[in-house]
Amino acid sequence: MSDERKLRVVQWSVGNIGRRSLRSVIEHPHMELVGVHVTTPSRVGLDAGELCGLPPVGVKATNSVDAIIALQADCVLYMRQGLDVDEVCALLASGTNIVTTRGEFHYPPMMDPSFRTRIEAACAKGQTSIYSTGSSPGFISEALPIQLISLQRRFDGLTIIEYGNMEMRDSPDLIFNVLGYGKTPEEFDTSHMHHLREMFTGTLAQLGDAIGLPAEDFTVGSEIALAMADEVVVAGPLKQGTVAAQKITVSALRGGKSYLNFVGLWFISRNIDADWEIRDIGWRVLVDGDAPLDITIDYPIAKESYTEMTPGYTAHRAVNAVATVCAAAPGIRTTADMAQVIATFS
Amino acid sequence: MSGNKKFRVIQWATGNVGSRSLRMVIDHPDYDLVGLWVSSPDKLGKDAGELSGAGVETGIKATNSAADLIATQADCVLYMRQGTDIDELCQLLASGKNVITTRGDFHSPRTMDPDKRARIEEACAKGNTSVYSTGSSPGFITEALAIPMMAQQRRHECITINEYADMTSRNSPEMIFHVMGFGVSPGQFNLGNIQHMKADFAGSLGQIADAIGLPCDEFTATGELAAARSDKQIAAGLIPAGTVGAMRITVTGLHKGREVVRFRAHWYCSDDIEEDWGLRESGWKVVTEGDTPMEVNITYPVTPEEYPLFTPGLTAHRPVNAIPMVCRAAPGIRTTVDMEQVIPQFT
Repeated sequence: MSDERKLRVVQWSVGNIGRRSLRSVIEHPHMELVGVHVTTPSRVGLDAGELCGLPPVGVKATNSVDAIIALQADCVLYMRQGLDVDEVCALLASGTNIVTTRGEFHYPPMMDPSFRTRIEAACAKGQTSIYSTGSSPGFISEALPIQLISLQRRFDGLTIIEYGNMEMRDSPDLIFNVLGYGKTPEEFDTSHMHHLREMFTGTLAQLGDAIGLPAEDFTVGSEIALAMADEVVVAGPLKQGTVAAQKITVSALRGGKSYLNFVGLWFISRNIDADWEIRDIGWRVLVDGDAPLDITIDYPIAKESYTEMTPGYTAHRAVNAVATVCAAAPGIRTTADMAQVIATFS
Repeated sequence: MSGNKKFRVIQWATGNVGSRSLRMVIDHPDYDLVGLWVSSPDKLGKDAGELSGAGVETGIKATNSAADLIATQADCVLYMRQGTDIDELCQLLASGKNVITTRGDFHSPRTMDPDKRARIEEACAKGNTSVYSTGSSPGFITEALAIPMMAQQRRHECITINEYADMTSRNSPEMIFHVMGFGVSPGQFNLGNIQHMKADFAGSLGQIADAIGLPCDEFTATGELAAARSDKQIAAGLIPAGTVGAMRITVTGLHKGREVVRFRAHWYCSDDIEEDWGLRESGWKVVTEGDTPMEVNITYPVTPEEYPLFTPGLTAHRPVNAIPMVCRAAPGIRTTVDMEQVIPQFT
């Protein structure tokens, strides 16, 4: 790889994940950062190094889409809030590939048809590819399960349980209003679970198709667990008998039976009236088949470091995917139809 | 795959893993068994269905004639015999048949004996075929799973693949006390066993180290014994206190003097030992160290009684599932890092 030219890469957005990604690109032995796109006016003109806590690198942030397109970069790491179809299509059509932590491209057949057509046309025009990835969905729902399922000759089901520890979340509005903690069972409203359904049906559908067991239907359901005692969490007070933990399950079904399941197990307290296994962070993955597996995935890092380190678990896979996506066949690419993402460290 | 022509497959050998593989080929909707090689005279002439326990008559009779099978048209051979016969492999590959093997010879072409490598590559070029080594370990755990775990990081310090084998339910006194050396006073570690493990795993570890840009210029291997602190009764007999209760072998790959890839196998009859080896139930624990480290613990939710029925599949299924990928792959010696992912089809 050392004889090949460096990939010319643009970082799009410098939020939590974007800053981590920007840093990784600057430090990457086989990448050259050629541009940074920001929307916040105060960041325009700042050096990319400055934006992610590194010494200056000589690349200044811009809020001009045209300026980025003119760079003719190999790839954009697209990590903004929301997706702008015009700008994504312009980038792809101009010959710039996209790796994104946005979740729109995990399963093309589920995309809005006109949106999909526009994107695919842009890819064909520019001979470029676009790929959605990250930690979840992505690593945990595609990259890892594909390997686990390669050990099966009879596959009965896969369940991914993701632990969402919100004990330290200092957002009362999110915790008590949006997510419904602290509500009585009668008051608890499940409308927020549809967001998880949106996030995960595509990735589960991709996996189902890949193994020749396409999903026929999807469901989303919730279970709640109540606080055993009054307590005070970072976000505020929690009364006994109110919602302290919840499981939101997104399932793919075949023949009316669920076979691919993603469970978000979110909690603000562990002192609950249900016998749920609760872990600080990470996942439990259960594979049912003729080579059954029970897997726990942990981050061996200090709790105090979670906030600082967790963006990397999403950003790094995206950065590591750039080379694979640049080499891939044009179009919307998925983990199942692309070469493997292999990190290179020198 | 339905509607396309089936893959014609030859099963080579019917040991533990081979029998499971044979059964899976017979049951597979996209594969046709077209040949079966056996070494044992008692199996000669028997139908493959009978030998695999499939309960169907396949019409394929077991043969010990490699020549007959080399002359048989097939897309792929599942090569699972004792010992690697390079002559026979070259003939199979040159004849237009791809080979997938649980033999560990092809995990790292770069470090193979150059003559062996050249002969195999020439055979692949002639037959327009590929050869691929895989299985559960090495293979699944040291390559397939390691790749996405390492792709979670942007600074790699080391990946350690730990394997645990709990021997307490294995009623095999001969193997446990005489072959493996449990229950005797701790002496020197069997150097042969250390060299075997190094030979078995250095290739696979080297493959992934190459892929991540940290090629290994050196491999080390060590063996350690741990004495049981108390008497332990196991299925195979008694492990007296003070005798060997646990053992482990570590194979490490170094890049410019730095440890970057490591495989560590643990076997134990007692986990009450002085040493802090972190022994746990049978399975694997893979740990990446770096800027966004991860620890993946894998256990098998099967009873001790089910365990011997389950383990052959753990090794056999991946080769069976790899057939379409290897048949499609570019000719030559293929490895997990340079090939498409092995993705099974279930209908």
